[in-house]
Amino acid sequence: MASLRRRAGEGKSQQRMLYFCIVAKGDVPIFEVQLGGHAGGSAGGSGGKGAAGAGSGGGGLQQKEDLVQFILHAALDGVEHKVWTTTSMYLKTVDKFNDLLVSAFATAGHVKMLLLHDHRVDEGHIKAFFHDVHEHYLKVLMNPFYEKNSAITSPVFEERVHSLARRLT
Amino acid sequence: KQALARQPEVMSSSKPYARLGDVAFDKMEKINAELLTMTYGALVTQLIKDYQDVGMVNQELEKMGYNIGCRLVDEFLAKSNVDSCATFQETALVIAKVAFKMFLGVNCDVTSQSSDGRRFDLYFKDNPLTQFVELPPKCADLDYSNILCGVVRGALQMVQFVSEVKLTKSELKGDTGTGIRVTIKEVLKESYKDDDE
Repeated sequence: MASLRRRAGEGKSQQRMLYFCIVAKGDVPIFEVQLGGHAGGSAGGSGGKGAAGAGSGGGGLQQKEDLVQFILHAALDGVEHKVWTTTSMYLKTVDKFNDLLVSAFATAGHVKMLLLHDHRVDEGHIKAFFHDVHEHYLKVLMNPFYEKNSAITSPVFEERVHSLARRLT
Repeated sequence: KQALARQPEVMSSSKPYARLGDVAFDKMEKINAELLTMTYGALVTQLIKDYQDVGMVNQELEKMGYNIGCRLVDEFLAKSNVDSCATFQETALVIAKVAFKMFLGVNCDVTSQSSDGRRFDLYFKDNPLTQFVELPPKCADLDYSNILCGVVRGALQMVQFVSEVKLTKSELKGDTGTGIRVTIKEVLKESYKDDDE
């Protein structure tokens, strides 16, 4: 499975598309990471549609990274719409793009977590993933040095997100 | 007598102090630990914003701790029912087992003590002040729990011991617990001034 993923640019249909991001109030991404398959991600910067730094392959993959950011940004509208229809924080699927789905989780503080994935990921797993990441996010919030709505740069948090994501793939 | 004060004997003679510590802790009014953590965190971050210099913040925390310690020692002696200490070994045990337990709720140990007793190390895990805290890279030299060093120094000063107290280990810097080294420099003699002259 690992060797299949390495062939970036070829056989794209076999690549696991799994992209996670946390967006703060005001649509500012504070954490973005490419999960499952490609090692390492990129900590979000402020705003911007710049390409995520995890491009480990040819130009084809780079384009896809830009697309991913675009898809997630567009999905935010779907989130806004769904947030008022339910009292639970887990919003299930809020948007579709070709064969990719965007699932979302919105906290009371208007912090949204978005997961871009394909249909092969189980919903129950996604819900558990969101809840666990949310707990770790709360711990980041409790850090007095962390400013609310600023980029999350804690390596501990990133490591935890990666390890939680392994349960999704 | 000093040979008796080495590790194994220290362990067995610390039991009565541990009991005193637990009893005193039970009697004390409690507050929510997270409230303390977050209040202290807000205090430290505000200090950093105000002073911008990590060295100065360390000093300020120590000074604040000193002021606290000067007042705290009276409450401690009143509520803990400890007898006066005959040796420095007992002083170290009282600070670790009774005082730290009473005020912070942590189980603190005396991990080493010099042969004359004047220098000893305190060690405890699960520091309530540092819960959830991660130091950003620009504050890597910050002694986050320095207030505790000040408290110990202030308290010792009020009982006529001039000391130097430093943080040696910190959970925020990769260690498994918090380590504090106390060095008693001088024992002051109480001097009374004659009022008549």
